[in-house]
Amino acid sequence: MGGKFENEIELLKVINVILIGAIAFMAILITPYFATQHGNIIEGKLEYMSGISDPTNYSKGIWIKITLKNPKKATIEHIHLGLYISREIHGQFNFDGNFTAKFQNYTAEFYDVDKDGYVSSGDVCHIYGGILKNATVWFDISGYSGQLRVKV
Amino acid sequence: MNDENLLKTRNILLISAIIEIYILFLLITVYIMLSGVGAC
Repeated sequence: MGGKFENEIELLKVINVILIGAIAFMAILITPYFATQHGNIIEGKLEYMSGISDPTNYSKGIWIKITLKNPKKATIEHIHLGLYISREIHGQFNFDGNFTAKFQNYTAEFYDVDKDGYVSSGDVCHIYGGILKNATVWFDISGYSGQLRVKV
Repeated sequence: MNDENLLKTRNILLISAIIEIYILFLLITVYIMLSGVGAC
């Protein structure tokens, strides 16, 4: 009988180690989401300060002021902006050297506040042209690990 | 170790595994919720 238990114990030890590993992996995977949710810093590199106007107002749209930490500047071509309404992808804005991008009725405009030709801290993004209630704006910069999600 | 001790050890490991599976399930659920679009 003893041998049987020993085998079971060995097996359970292996299962426990695998499960603890899986838990640690999931914990590492989840941590950045809590950083996104509770802080203004995403992976310590990108943060936002939102100055969101009335999302139910068709004309006003939303304004998002961004802060880039590393890199401090990004060319507009590297910015990808996803618009999600009620958790469904609604559109993706790609900027081709132009600070304005359109998708259907929506327009996304970057204002180069410091006029340095790049998207950098203090620059603002204005998205308008449709109802933006329950919208989530997803910023992604190519070659840059930080992602920014701003929920309206 | 006698059989009683082995049984105890086995039971502890078994309960640990069950608890770990439960924690893992919770973590996976939270991850799915958070990674879902719009779940900021």
